[in-house]
Amino acid sequence: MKKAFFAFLFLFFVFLTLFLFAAAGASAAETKTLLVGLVPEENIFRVMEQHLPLAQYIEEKTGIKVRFTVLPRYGDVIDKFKARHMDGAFFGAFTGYLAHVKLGVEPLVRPIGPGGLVTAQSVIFVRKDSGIQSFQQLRGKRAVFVDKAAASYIYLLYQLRRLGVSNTGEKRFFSGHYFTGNNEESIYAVLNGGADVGLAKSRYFEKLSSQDPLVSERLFVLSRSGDMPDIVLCLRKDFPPATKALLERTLMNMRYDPEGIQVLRVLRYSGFEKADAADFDPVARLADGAGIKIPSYRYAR
Amino acid sequence: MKKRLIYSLFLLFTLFTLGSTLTILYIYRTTFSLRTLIALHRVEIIRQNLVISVQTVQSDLYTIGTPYDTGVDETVKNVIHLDKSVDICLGCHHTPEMTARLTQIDQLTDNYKDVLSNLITTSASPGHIKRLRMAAIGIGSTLLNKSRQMALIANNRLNGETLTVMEQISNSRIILLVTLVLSFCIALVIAIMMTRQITAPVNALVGATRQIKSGELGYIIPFKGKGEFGELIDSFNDMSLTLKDSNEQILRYLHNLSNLYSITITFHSVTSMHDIFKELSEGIRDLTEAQQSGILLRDGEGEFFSHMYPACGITEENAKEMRIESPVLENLYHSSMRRALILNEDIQKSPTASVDARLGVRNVMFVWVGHKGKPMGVMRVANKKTGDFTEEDARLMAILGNSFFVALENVRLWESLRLQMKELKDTQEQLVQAAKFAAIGELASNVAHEINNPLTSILGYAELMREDEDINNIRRDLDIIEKESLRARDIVNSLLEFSRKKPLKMGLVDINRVLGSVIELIGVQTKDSNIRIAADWGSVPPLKGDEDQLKQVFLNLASNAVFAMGKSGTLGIRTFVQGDFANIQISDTGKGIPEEIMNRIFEPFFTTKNEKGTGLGLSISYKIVQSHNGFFDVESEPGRGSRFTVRLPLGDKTVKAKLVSINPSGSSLPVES
Repeated sequence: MKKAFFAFLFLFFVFLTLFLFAAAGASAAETKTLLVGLVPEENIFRVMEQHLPLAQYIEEKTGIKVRFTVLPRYGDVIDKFKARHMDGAFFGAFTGYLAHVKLGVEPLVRPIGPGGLVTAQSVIFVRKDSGIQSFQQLRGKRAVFVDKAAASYIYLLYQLRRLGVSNTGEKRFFSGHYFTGNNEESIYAVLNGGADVGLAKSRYFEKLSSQDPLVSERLFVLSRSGDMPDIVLCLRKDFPPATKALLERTLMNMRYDPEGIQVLRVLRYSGFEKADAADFDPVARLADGAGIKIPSYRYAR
Repeated sequence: MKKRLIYSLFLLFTLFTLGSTLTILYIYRTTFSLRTLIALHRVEIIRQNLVISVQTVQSDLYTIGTPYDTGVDETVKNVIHLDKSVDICLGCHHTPEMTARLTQIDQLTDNYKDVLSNLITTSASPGHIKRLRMAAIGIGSTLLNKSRQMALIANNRLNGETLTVMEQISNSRIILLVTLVLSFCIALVIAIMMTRQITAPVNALVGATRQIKSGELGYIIPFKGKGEFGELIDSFNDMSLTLKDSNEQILRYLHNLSNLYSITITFHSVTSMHDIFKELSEGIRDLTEAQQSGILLRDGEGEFFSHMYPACGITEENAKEMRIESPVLENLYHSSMRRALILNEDIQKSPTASVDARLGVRNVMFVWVGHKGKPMGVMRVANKKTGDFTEEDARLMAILGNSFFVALENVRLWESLRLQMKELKDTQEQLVQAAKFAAIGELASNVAHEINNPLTSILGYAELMREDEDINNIRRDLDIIEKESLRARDIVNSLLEFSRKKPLKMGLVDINRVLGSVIELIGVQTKDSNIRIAADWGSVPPLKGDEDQLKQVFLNLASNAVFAMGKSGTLGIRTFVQGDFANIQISDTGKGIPEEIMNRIFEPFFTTKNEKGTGLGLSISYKIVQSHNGFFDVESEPGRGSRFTVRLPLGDKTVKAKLVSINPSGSSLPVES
C-alpha cells in the first residue's frame, strides 16, 4: 500500500514536471513573434500600412504575434529570409517560386483579390504616342523594370528569348533601363516619359488605370502573360505544424468574421484560400520558357 | 414668521444658487479655457511630433545607403508615424485656412512617401537615384518648413491663449473669492437677523416662563409681533392670564376650603349649642361675605322652624321674630327640589320677608340642612357685601350645613354622654364607698372586740371606784379609765377617718407611713390569731398620690392576705425602689390563688369569700392603682401563698398599667386588665 502510494506520488511529480515544461515551451512558442516579409510590389509604406491590421488581427485571434518587414528588393526576400530567420513571407509569383525551390518554403494560403481573382498576369506596356506596336519596335528603347525577381521581368525574358535575345542580352536590347522596385513607379515612369516601355503586374496596371484616367488614356499594353499566382503566403519548411494549421485556419476563416472582413477590406482582398506548390507551375513553365535555370539565376539587380 | 423664514430661506437659496451658478460658470469658463489650452498643447505636441517625424524621416533619408542607415523597417516605421501624425492633425477641427495648410501637408506627405518608396526600391543609375533623393529631400524640406510653420502658429496661439487663460484664472479667482466672501457675509447677516428674529421672542417666552415659574402669574410679554411668534406670544399671554385666574380661583377655593375646614374643626370641638350656633353663623358670614347669617332649626314640637341665636348681623329679638311654620318650609323644601333659594332681587319671596324688610335686606339666600329627606333646618344669609349670592356660595354653605348637622348631633350626643358619665361617676363613687363600707364591716367585729376591752376595763375600774374610797386608788383607776377611753377613741377615730367619703386629693405620700397605719388597722384584726406581720421597710421617697385611696388599696390587699391565711401564717410587707418605681409587696402564706381564677381576680364582684366579700375590693384597688399610673404584679402558688406587688411611679412618668402573674412554676403570665 505504501509502495503504491509512493509510486503514485512519483508519477504525479513526473507528470507535473513534464506538464510544466510543456506549458513553458508552449508559452514560449506562443510568445515568439513571427517575422513575415512583404514584397514591395507597390509603395512600401502603403504595403506596410495595409498589413499592420492583419498582424493585429492574427494576434487577437491566435495570440501569435506577427511582425511584418518590408524588403526593398524582391530578391532580398530570398537572401534575407534565411539571414533574418524569417518565418514566412507574402511572395509574388516568381519570388514565391524561387523561395520554394531554393529555400523549400511551403505555400500556405493565397489572397482572393477583387472579383475573386487569385491570379495575375505580367504586362509589357508602352505609351500610345510612342508609336510602338510590336515587340520588335522595343529595340533601342528606354525600359523600366520592377525587379529582376519579379515575374514581369521573367515574362520579358521569355518574350525576348522568343525574339532570339539571350537572357543576358536584354540590357543591350534596350538603350537604357532601370528598376523601380515596385509596379506603380514602373507604370508612372512610362507615363511620365521616364521610359518608353515598362513592366508591371496586371493588377496594378488595372488599378491605376481605373484610378488615373491618364494611365488608360496614354498607356497601351503591348503584351500580357498567362495567369500566374498573384500573392502567396509561404512559411519556412520547419514551421511548427500546429501553429501553421492555426494560422491557416484563422486566415481562411477571416472572410466569415466581421472583424476579419474589416481587415481584408484594408488589404483589398475578399479572403484567403488554400495554396500549394502546384500554384507555381505556370511560373515554372514561364521560367523554363525564358531559359532560366533557377539554381543559377542571378536575381539581384 | 413662517413667511419670513421662507423668504429668508428663499433668499439664502437664491444667493447660494447665484453664487453656485457664478462659481460653476467661472469654473466652467476657466476649465473650458484650460481645456482649450490643453487642446492647444496637444495640437502643439502633435505638430511638434509632425516636425520631429519629418525630421526623423529626413534624417533617415540622408543616411540611406550610408553606414548610418537604420534600415528599411525603421524608415518605414518613421514614415508611417509621420503619416499618422498628419492624419491626427487632419482629424482635428481647424479653420479652413488651417485645413488647407494641413491638406497641403498631407499631399506633400503622400508625395514624400511615393518618392521615398521609389528611392528605397529603385535600382537605377546614380543620376536617377540622385534626382530621386533630391526630390525627396526637397519635398521633405518643404514638409518640414510647413510643419514648423504649423507648429509655430500653434505655439503662438498657445502662448496667447496661455496668457488669456492665466488672466481668466486670476480674474476667476478674484471673482470667486469676492463671491464667496460676499455670499458668506450676506448669509451671515441673514442668519443673524433670522436668529435674532427667532431668539428675541423665544427669549421673551423663556423669560416669561421664568416669571410665571417664580409665581408671577398673569405676566404679560410686551413683545409685539406678527406671524407665528406673535400668535404664540398672544396665546402665551392668554394662558398666563388664564393661569392667573385659575390660580386665583384655586386660591379662593382653598381659602373657602380652609375656612370650611376651620369651621368644621371648630364644630367638632364645641360642646354646647350656644357655641355651635355662634361658630356656624360666623362661618357662613366669612364664607359668603354676608352681613347677616344664622340658622333656623325645627323646634321641639316640630311646628316651627325658629332662628337660633347667637347669629351674626341680627339681634336676639330679630332672631326670635324669625319663626316659620314647618309646613311652609317643608313645601318650599320639596318644591325647590332641595336646592338653595337664592333671592338676589325678589326678596319679597323670602319666607322671612316680614323681618327682612325691617333688617334692610337687599338679597337673601336659604340653604337647606336636611336629613333622610326631611328639612331639619335652613341656613339664612343676607346682604352679601359684594354683588349677589351665587351657586358657589350655596354649595359651600351646603357643605357647611352637612358638617353642622353632624356637629349638632355630636353636641347632642356629647351632652347625653356627659349626663351618662356623671351618672356613672356617681355610681362608681357609690361602689367605692360600698366596698369601703364592706371593708369596714369586715373590720367592725374585730374593732368592736378591741373597743370592748377598754370598755370592759373602764366598766371594771368604774365598779372598783364605786367601792373604793381611797382617793389615790380612785385617781389611779380614773387614769386607767382615761387611758382606755382614749385608746377606744383612737380606734373609733381611725375607723371614722377611713370610712369618711373624701374627694380625690393628690399630694406627696409617704408609702411607709401609709403602710404603717394599715398595719395598725390589720393588727387589731390579727391580734387573736397566730398571724405574724413581717415588715421590711425600704428607703422609698415620697411619691405623688392620694393617700386615702392608696391606704384603701393596701388595706384591701392586707385584709385579703389575712383572710387567705386564716388563723396562722405570716403577713409580709415590704417596700423597695426598683428603677423608677416604688414597689410595695404584700404577701401571705395562705392557700394561694388557683390558676384557673387568676385571670378573674380583678373582675368586679368576683370573690372567693362567698357572703363575706363583695367582690369589689381588688377591682377598685386596680382602678385606684391605674389612676396613679401604676400597675400590679401578682404571684401565687397554690398551697404556699400569694404575693401582690403594687408598682407606683416615683416621678411624673406615665407608665402604662400592666398585670403580670406568676404561675406555680414561676413563669410570668399576663393578667387581663
